[in-house]
Amino acid sequence: MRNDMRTLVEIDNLHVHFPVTQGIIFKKKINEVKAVDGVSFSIRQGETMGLVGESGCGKTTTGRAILRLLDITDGTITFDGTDISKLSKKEMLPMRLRMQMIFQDPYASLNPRQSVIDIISDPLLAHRLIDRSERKDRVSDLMSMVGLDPRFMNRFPHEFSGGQRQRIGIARSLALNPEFIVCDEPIAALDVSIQAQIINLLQDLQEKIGLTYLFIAHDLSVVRHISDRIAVMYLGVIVEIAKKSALFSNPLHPYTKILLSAVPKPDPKTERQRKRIMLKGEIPSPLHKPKGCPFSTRCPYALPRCKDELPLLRTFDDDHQVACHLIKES
Amino acid sequence: MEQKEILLQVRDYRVAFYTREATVYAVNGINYDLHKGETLGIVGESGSGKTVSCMSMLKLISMPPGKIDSGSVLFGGVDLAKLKRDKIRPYRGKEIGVIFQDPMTAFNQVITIGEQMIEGHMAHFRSSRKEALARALSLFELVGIPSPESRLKDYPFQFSGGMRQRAMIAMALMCDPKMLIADEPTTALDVTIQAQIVDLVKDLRKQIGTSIIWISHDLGVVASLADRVMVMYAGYIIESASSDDLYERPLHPYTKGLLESLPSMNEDASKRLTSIGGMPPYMNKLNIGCPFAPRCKHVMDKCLKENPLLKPISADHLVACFLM
Repeated sequence: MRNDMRTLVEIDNLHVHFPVTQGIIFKKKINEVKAVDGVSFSIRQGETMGLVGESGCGKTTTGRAILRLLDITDGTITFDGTDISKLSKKEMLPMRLRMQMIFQDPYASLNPRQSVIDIISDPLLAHRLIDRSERKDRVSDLMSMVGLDPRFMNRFPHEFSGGQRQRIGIARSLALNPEFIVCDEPIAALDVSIQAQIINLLQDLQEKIGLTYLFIAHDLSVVRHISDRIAVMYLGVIVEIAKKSALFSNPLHPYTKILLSAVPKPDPKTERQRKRIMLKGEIPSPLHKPKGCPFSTRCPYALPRCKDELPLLRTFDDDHQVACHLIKES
Repeated sequence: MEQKEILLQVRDYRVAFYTREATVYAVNGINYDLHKGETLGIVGESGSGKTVSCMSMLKLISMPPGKIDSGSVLFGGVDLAKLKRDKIRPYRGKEIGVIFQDPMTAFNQVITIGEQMIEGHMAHFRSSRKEALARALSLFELVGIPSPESRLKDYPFQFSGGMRQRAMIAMALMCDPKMLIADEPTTALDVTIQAQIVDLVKDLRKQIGTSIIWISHDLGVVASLADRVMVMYAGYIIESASSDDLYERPLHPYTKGLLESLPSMNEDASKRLTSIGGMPPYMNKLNIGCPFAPRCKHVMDKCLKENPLLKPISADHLVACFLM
């Protein structure tokens, strides 16, 4: 991946907080969940940015906030030079043409009462890009593009398998000819033999139409396969961003190291010899975040300083950013 | 592997679901042995029959529509497949423990974990509350739940996912079963928590030596745990081998395809993934040929006409494929 490529999406100090309320009428705010707590990164045109982390780390919230599907508490999102974080719903509409989403669960994200042609043409009709007479041709093109037989356009989602449904979801996200797609765990709900089909499809489409992806996943081996750069999230913050080769050959943050060592490999011999760094305990509740480094409660190398002072993301050689007090400049 | 005592012997085991719309043939004549102290991994995609083949042994599937059509499941000299519903109860939980997939839904949400833990023990052994609670406490310590005494009084929602799965394992061990069925016990968990649970199970296995059937769709998890692995497809066992053998020399095209379709953590990541075309079959009719034939790259005429039997290739490696 070249460094001189244009930045398409720039996220600066993004915060998404959800209030925790008490009472029915006055809904007094008693606390807040800081799901995303100061996230900054940029995505270059044509690249795939991987976003990994465990459940509850804020990766999906980040993805949704970038598309303005959630209210942002603070921070800016710049899409192709335009600050979209403060646009009204109406002003946002033309921007939506350029950014789309593929959802995690192909069973829940398709309306069971709509036929495939309705599902795929919905965004086109909503934006008044085609009239009803053209819709058959457009949908037919889109279906062939994702490897579905256009003859099935009048069928309903329940008549398709999981992998096919995910293809319908992908066709819908491609309908508006977007530049940027947020893929939120697009293969997590699929069988192993089908996962590879969908990953290959996403990569083919990227090559063909020059898409930019934000690929959200918890499966590191998949993210490694598809991404150019990877950001690792923990408890609402990014702890490390690097090119995938650097991240996997030379992970710097203790959490990244532990995450990498936790991935089971399909090879019993290396599994037996492998030394795992075991992580003690579990991710703290986002309601009671540690004051300093969010990882300090579980980190095997934590210093007293880590408990009080939040480490900031610092850049090391060649695009490698880490948020950890332990890492010294080389 | 040295010859060990056989704990469970499954022969020509068939399970089907008879519904008004269709008959689904979920398990189509499988044969295997589980030895004492052995961990057997069963791998397959959703709908391959891996869960049904195990849960139906304890009649933990809805019957009807489910029905054991034929075959035997010999456990300690008794054929579980022939037992009536009420006669299976002494085996459930006591002889064979079960760890369910989803620790979020497997517990009753309105009863404390402690109460749920002791229920089975009190019923099977006619033990007192006190005895059962003492056993529960010791197991909570064994599976590494911090402050076990107070945690027993907590409700399931007060446990995190990983802790709930630990509690589930403790519950499965309450009656000191000879065998454990673990149905995708780590699928709902994060990788770091999954690693913790896998380590725990390895530890427990050393300490108490139960036999384990570990059902999973994740070839990686099974690799680190199982002594032997069986691959299921469309209700058939298509390959069975020691785990070293299976991962090093997969023979069936489906097994090969599964292993190749995994993105590797070592090799060049830019290369394209090899995918298996098509999709798993609907099992509403019995296959005449090989169930994998429609998706197989090496399909021959013979594969469409005749279903290959599971045949030994070497002492401990069985494959159902005409190519061998």
